[in-house]
This record gives sequence, structure tokens and C-alpha cells, in this order.
Amino acid sequence: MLPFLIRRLAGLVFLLLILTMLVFGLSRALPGDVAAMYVGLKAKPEQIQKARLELGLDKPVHVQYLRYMGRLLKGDLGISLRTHRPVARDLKEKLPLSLEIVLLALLISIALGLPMGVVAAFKRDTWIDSAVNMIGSAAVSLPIFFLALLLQLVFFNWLGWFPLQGRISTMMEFRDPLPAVTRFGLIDALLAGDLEYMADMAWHMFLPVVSLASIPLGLVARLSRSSLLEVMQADYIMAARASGVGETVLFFRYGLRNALSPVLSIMGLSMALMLLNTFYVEQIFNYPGIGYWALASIFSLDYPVLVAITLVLGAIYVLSNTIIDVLRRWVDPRIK
Amino acid sequence: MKDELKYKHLAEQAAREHRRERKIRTIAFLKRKSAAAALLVLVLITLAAVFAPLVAPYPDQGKGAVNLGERLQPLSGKHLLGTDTFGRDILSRLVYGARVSIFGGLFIVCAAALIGVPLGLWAGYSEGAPGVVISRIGEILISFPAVLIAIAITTVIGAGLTSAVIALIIPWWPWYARIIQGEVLRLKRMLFVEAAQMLGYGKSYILFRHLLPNIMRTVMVMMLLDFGPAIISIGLLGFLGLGTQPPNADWGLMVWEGAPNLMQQPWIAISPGAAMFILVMAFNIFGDNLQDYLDG
Amino acid sequence: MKMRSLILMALVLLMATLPIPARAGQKNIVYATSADVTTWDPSASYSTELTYMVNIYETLIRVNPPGSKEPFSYILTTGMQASDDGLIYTFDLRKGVKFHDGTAFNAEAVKLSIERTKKIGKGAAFIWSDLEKIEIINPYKIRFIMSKPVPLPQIAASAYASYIISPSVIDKEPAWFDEGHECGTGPYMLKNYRAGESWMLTRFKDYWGGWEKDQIDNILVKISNDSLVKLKMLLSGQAAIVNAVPSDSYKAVRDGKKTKVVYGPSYVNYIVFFNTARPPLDNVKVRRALAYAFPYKDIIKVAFDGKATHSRGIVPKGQFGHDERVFQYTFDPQKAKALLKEAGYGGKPLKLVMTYVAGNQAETRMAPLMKDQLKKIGVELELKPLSWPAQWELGKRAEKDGQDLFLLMWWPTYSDPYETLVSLLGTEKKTLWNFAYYSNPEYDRLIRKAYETVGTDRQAALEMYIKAQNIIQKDAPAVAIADAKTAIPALRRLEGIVVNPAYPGGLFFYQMRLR
Repeated sequence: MLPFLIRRLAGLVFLLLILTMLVFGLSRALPGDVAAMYVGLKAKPEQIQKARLELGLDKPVHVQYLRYMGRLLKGDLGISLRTHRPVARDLKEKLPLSLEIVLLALLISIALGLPMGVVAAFKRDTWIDSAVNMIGSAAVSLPIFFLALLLQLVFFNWLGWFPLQGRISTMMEFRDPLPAVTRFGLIDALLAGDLEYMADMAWHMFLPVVSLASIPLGLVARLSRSSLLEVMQADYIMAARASGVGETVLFFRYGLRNALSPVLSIMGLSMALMLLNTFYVEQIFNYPGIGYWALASIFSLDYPVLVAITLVLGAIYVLSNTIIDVLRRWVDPRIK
Repeated sequence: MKDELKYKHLAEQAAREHRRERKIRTIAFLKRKSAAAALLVLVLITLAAVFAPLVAPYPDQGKGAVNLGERLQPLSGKHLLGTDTFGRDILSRLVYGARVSIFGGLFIVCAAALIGVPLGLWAGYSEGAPGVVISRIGEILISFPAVLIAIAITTVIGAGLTSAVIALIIPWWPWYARIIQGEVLRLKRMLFVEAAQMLGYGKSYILFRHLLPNIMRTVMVMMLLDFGPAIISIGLLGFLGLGTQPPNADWGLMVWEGAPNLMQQPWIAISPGAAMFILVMAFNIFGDNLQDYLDG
Repeated sequence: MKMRSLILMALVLLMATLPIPARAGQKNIVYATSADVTTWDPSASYSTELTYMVNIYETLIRVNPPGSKEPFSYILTTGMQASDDGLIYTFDLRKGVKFHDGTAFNAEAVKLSIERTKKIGKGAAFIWSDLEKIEIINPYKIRFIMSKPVPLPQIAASAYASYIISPSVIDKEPAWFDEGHECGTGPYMLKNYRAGESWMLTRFKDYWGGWEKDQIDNILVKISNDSLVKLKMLLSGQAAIVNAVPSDSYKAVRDGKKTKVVYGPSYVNYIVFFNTARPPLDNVKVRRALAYAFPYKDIIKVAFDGKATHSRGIVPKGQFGHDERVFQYTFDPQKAKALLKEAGYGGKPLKLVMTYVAGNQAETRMAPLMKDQLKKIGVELELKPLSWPAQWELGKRAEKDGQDLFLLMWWPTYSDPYETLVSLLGTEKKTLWNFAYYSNPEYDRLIRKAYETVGTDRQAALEMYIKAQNIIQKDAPAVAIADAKTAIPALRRLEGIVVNPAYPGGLFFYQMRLR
């Protein structure tokens, strides 16, 4: 296990190194005067020149890159061209907000998708099976931006059950903010003992989480169903079946455990996919996380922010895959 | 790395075991109602896309001509799906937008397979250095958000469907390379390949004669199941203004254009969104059925 | 186990639907807007944070909205005298004014603030380039000495770069301000700043103007780029005022029982630049043909909900320099066709590329209309929506291979038209704003002369500005399409919303009342 982890971490470092080079190189190679963007609208030539010196853009690209890497090691990701705030600071504030809804969506997709898939497999070729199959296909076929708009239309406009936008009710925002301990809103509210705040946040998270959960839910349901069906045809199950073990016992005792591995294997990808989908969901629900920030930065070509977001998404992708591989080894001893 | 999977491929099933050749029982397959319905939808939408100028009630408006006399009309006999803020017939725009989805999706999937499959074959067959290099490159490209690639490309060659398609192919092909590589490694250990090697057949002969047919089936299923995600991805970029440019029609772009009117004129955004959903769903159902059938 | 968590979840949700008690007796409103903050440093501020800056900081004098009796109001001053040559201005400063930290306002604060802005040299600091020095006569009397007779009152009242900062924070770096710190004399203070997300403007108890009944205690600013979200927030009463709603929704808001749209003048206008550096737009006839082919009325209807004015020259309606004697292009496809033919482009279709900002609601609506009409005179207009930095960058290096048409949304920094005229069409060594790549020494001379005359002889300056604009209309390097109006959707019970075009996007919350 340990050599495996070390190999994975080394891979991560290597990946991040290449990513920084690529993104950094791109941000310098692409048209778009970084200094002019930093100065902002109606910049004067002499101001742009001044900013160029201030940002060290007069140096050769490799020197700029080395400087960037040097600062990166100290946790400094540069200054946003658009807001002039340290990127690392904004990242620290916004990433937890997005991770919170993404993890909740992941949790929900497993909590609902797995039982759905299991029941469908257990009741194979019944109406339940077809229904799960249909729901699963529909869930993965809904374009996320369309789903988010639909949810808004139905649950806010027509039914009025859920709030339209934001992280907390505007009335709550007139109060002083909670102390940021973990930076995960729900946990911080719990730590502060403010259940009202917590409930309000959960209420606001509901629609964004549902939008994000749709695709992984469909994947988990479909994949758990098909991998269960496959496992139940495996030789050892056949053997057990032949020796007179009951079908239900077989199913839950042996089948389920072995069918989990493929389901786990798509979790890492689902994480990455959901983080990208926050770009859309957070925009539509006005949820101030990393996706909202990324989109705003995309349209203003805020390179330092884009570099940081690429790095973070890459790192999360690799890390979550590593965690999942560890879990899979634990669940399924056949994997070497 | 062999344990990572593209989310929708379920390629583990597709690639599982080596499969026996089987005669294609087309009729039995099509008897499955859902598959037939899905196929029908696909055929209809494709036909509409191909013959857009004939199918669209107002071809000019489908291509972007404005019609200010009939702005924001609700559904009616004259405009079956209503009109948008420029008075353009939504149905006509849907028909033209279908071209982007169908042909864009087709192009992405084919290009990804054309790049990914040979590289995957090479990586899997020769093992060693090429395999490592290709999978490393693939990993980097995969962890690069397509949106960022799209921006990079649009700042160089400008926004448009071409940029969007290129931006999507770049992180797409590694999935093919990766899965084919795994498949080749598995097949290589199979008896018939070893037997062929012992009989003295050359590497390339084995590769093309024995591995390729086995792999083609996996690739076919993958491509079919990839159509949906490809269409949605084009829509996602279109939604952000990084794909097809106005006044041309594109379903993602149409949802974006219609979103501000969602409260008063919901049909503008809902029609293209629903069209996209139906098309992707049809591809998924058809792909699932085909896969079940091939796995049999 | 799963059941229990479900029930728990349901309980949590139930609690959320209970009404949340508002702070008793306070007048709180929410302002939902896309106007984000680039910098909180009042010396460097040159962007949309103006909305908040005018509430936190104050200038010596303020330009009054058009139609007022006096051109200026005295804010941090009580009187002003100018010398006959227009080079020396003396201000009497207001007594009893305090900064938010309690520091007293005086002549030293004025001198230090302006000098800080000039020294940092960021944002709109260039407006002080003709300032020679500032002399303190006594703590409440100060003198500005200029090197040229430029219109100082307009400069001192500028929406940017003319705010007075407390001497106690004068040495702070911009980074300190950007954390969300401030120290001005304005009626509101900044609180709970969350960058790009939300912050609060809260009443400054000791404001020199005093406080009356129904004035607002707290304004929660909520950043939202989505006009649909803002529309819904307004209609549901969550927000009392928003900066925009979807173009097609203004009518519904205007006619709403609880909502209204406050319209006011604005100096924002939309201008199309023609690339005069290469064929076919190096030919003045082609440029004029295009100017006659734009459907001005349709654009105003579709892109501005009817609430804009057909431009007359590049100086917007309401601003000094705008005049009925400036020539106006109208929609005349016959004339356009004839001009094209004259220029030798009668036969084969002409292919042109136009860039504009993808995120700009008005521009994305104008562009297809322009394309549609140009097609009718045989010009194929390719639309190229870009992000602003990309459009700008292309424009700056595009003389030879970039766009043919550049659609720009523009607003002046201060209320004299010189800045607009010189920035957009004055000769530039290196392109910055002149996306027509136009150069005309006679025009350059004329506007500079007008600028230096305006302080002493306003009428003569106006004549020169009109003449200069008519040169532009004749050469047609650029044509203004529409002069926008400011439209502020708000709840009916929020009264006293005053639009002042000299402060684009600025909302003076102190003047508002919540009934």
C-alpha cells in the first residue's frame, strides 16, 4: 500500500508541474495584454507600462515561470487581474463552498443511486428494473444548465418551495457572518450552534445539489445494476448457488460487496465532472463558489485565477482517484 | 491507471473478457421497443438536420434572419414552438441547431476514436516507453478542463463551432487510448494471440488480424455511448458563448439566449433544452441496447 | 439509519421556512447588481465600484443632474472662486465634517488626497495632469493652481480620482483598501466585505448632512451577473433595487404593482468604429454607406426596450458638447446602396467582421439586427462576440488583420466632452481607444483648443466642439448608434432614486427613502 501511495503522490507532483508549465505558458502565449487587463478599463499607456514592471512581465517567460513557482511553493498564487485580490485567499474562501455542495451531491447520488441499482438488479426484468433504467438514462441525459433552469422554474417560480439564489437568505446576511472555522458553511454553523443559519444554508443548497447530483446518480444506479448482474453470473457465485446457498443471501452477502468496486471507480470522475459542472450550476443559482468565480474569470481572461483553478481541479481529480483506489483495494482484495 | 473509467462508458462491460463472434441478429435487436423508439428519434432528428432547408418552416430565420414583426410570440399554428426575442421561429432554429449537435457530436466522437485508438493500440502492444508516455500525456489532457482549452483556442482562432469541437477532442481522445490500451494488454495474454505468436506471425499481422476486430466492437459501443456526452459538451460550450456564434442556431446557445426570458416566455429556453435531452436520451438508450446485445 | 437522517433533514428544512425576525426598526434593503469592485482604493478606482464609492467618499463639489438650476452642488466645500485666466481656483471648505474614524476634515486632507492620487498615477489620475500645485491658505481655504486653463470644477467633481481620503489612512497601500477598509466622509461605511459576493453599506451616524426619517440604515450589496436572477429577486421582494433585468422584462417591471423602473439620463453610448486603415473601409463612401444602413430605430426598440436616443455624434445627449447642429445619420438603405455603388462595391457581396463584447446584453442584441440590414445592401457582416480583454487586444493590434467594425460601449470619465473626443478619435501613436485608426491633425487641434477655452468661454468652446464633431460625421471613422438611458428597476416603495449621468452607475443611497 505504501509504495502505491508514494507512486501516486509522485505522479500528482509530476502532473501539477506539467500543468503549471502548460497553463502558465498558455497564459503568456495567448493574445491578451496581462498588464493592460490588470490596470483595467480605460488604461493609459504609461499605466500599462508601470503595471508591466510591477508584475514582472518585462522578464523572459522562463524567469517569470520560476518566480511563479517560487511563490507557489510559499502558497502565493499571484494577484487576480480583475479584483486585484490575492488568488490564494479567494481560493481558500470559495473552494470549500463548492466542495461542500459537490460532496453532498456525491453522497446523495450514492445514497439513492446504489439502492436503486441494487433493487433493479434484484428485481431484474420487472417494471422496477425498467423504471430504474429509465430514470438512470434520463439523469445522465439532462444537460446540467437545462436541469438547473428547470428546477428554478418549477421549485421557485411555480411551487415556491426553495429559494432562488445565493448561499443564505438575504435577511440572514444583515447579521454578522459566522466565524470561519472549517469554512464549510454547514459545519461552521453547527460549531457555532446556530441551527437557524444551518437550516437556511441547507435550504439554499438543495437545488444546486440536486442539479449536481443528477449525473452521478444516474451513473451509480446504472453501473451498480449492471455490475451486480455481472457478478451474479460469476463462477464463484454459480458454485455457491449450486451448493444450495439461498439467492437473497448470495445477492447481499457476496454479490453486493464485489459489485461495489466498479461503482467506486467512477466516483473520482464524478467528482471532477461535478466540479466542472459547478461552473454552470453556481452561475445559475448565484452561488459564490469556485465555479462562479471561474466563470467570471473566464470571461475577463483573469489568467492568475484560471491557472490556480486548473491546478486545483487537476489536484482534486488525482487525489480523489487515489483515495478511491485505496478504497477499492479495501473493498475488493482481487485488485493488486 | 487501468482502473479509471470514463463515466458513461461502462467500458468494463464492453471490454470484459474476450467475446465470441456472433451473427448479428438485427431483427431480434430491433424488436426491443425502447431501442426501436430511440432509433426512430435518432433517424428523424438526423433527417431533419440533413434536410434542414426543406424541413424548417422558415429557413431564413433558422439561419438567423430577424423578423421583428413577430417578437416573442407564444406557441401557435404559424409558429409551432413560438418565436424568440428577434421574432425568429424557434422550430426552424431547432432544426438548424440539430445540425450542430448531430454533426458536431459525430465529428468529436470520430476524431477522438481516430486519434485515440491507434495510439492506444500502439501503447498497449509495445508496452514500455510509448505506453507510459501516451498514458501520461492523456492524463494531463484529461485533467485539463475543456472550458479552459476552449478559451485558449478561441483567443487564437476565434470563437466558433470549430474551436469548440477542437477543444473537446483534445481531452476526449485519451479516453479511447486508455481503454484500448487496457484492452490490448488483456487480449495479449489471451491464448489465441499467444498461439499466433508461437506460430511465428509478425507483430503487425497479429495486431491487425486478431486484436483489431476484437477491439472494434468496444470502440463502436464507446462511440455510440459518447455521442450523448459529446452533444451535451457542445451545448455547454455553446451556452458559455464559446461554441457556435450568433445568429447561427445551436441548442446550447439557444438555451442561453432564452434563459433571461424564462419567466415570461419559457418556451424559448425550454424547447432547445428539451430537444437536447431527447436526442441525448435516444443515443443513450440505443447505445445501452446495442451494448446489451453485443454482450448478450 | 437512513430514515433518521431523512427525518432530520426534513426538520432542518421545516425550520428554514419559519419567518426570520428582522432587526426591529431598521430600514434595510438589498441591492442586487453585477457592479463588482476592482479596487477599493479611492485614488485608483476607475470602474464599477463607483456605485459604492459615491456613498463612502465625497468630492469637493458634485455635478448636478441635467435640468438642475445650478451646474454644481457644494459637497465638501461651501464656495468656489476662479481667477479670470482660469488658472487659479480657491475653495472654501465645509466645517464640521468628520471622516468615518473621527478624524476632522480640513485643507490638509484635501491636499494629501489629491497628491496621493496624482502620485499613485493609477485609474483616472490623469485628470490632474494640468494641476501645478495645491496651496493651503488656512485649514478651511485651499487653492488649486493649474498650468493650463482646463475646467477644474469638472475635474474636482469627477466620478473618479477626486475623492477625499482621511489623512489617517493616506499612507496605506492599495492592498489595505482592497481588504475592504475605507475611511471617507460619505454617509455610508463599508462592512463585511466578501469579494465578488456581498458586502454591506451601513449608516455613518456622524455624517455632516444629518439623518432623516425613512432614510436607509443598511444596504446589502449582492453581486449577481445573472439578470434573470435579479428579476426574480426584485419581483419576489428579496431585492429592493437591482442594476438590470432581462431586456424583454422591463415592461413587466415597469407595469408591476410593486415594482417600477426609474429612467434617467446617462452618458453611456454605443459607437461603431470603422477600420480606416485598410480596404474597403478606408473608403469614406463605404463607411458612410454603412452608417446609413444601420437600423437605428429597430436597435433602440429591441436592444434598449425603446429607452434610448438615436445618437447625434459621439458626444451623448445631455452632455455638454451635444448639439442639434451636429449631423445625424439615419436609416436609409437606398442611399447606402447608392453610396456603395459609387464606391465601386455594387456587385459582389462585401465581407466584413464586427467584434463586440459577448457578455453585453445590448450589444448581443444590436449585432444580429445590424447584420440583417447590412445583408440587404449586399454586405455580409460576420459577428464575432469576444470577451472584453480579447476584443480590446484585437482592436489594439488590428489595423491590418483584425476587425473591420468595432462595437464599443463608452462612457466619459468627467463631464467635459474632450476626453471622449480625444480618446476615441484623436491621433494615437499606439492604438489604445482609437479603433478607427483615424488621424486628423485639424480635428486634434480643434478639440484641444476647445478644452483649453471651456474654462473661460463656454460658448466659444461649444462651437469648436460642434465643428469637430461635424468633421467626424463627414469623415465617418466612427458612428454612434444609440445614447443609452439609465434604467433602474426597483420596488415602488423605494423612493428618491436619482440618476446622475456624471456618475455612471452611481447610486446615492443617502437620497433614497424607504416607505
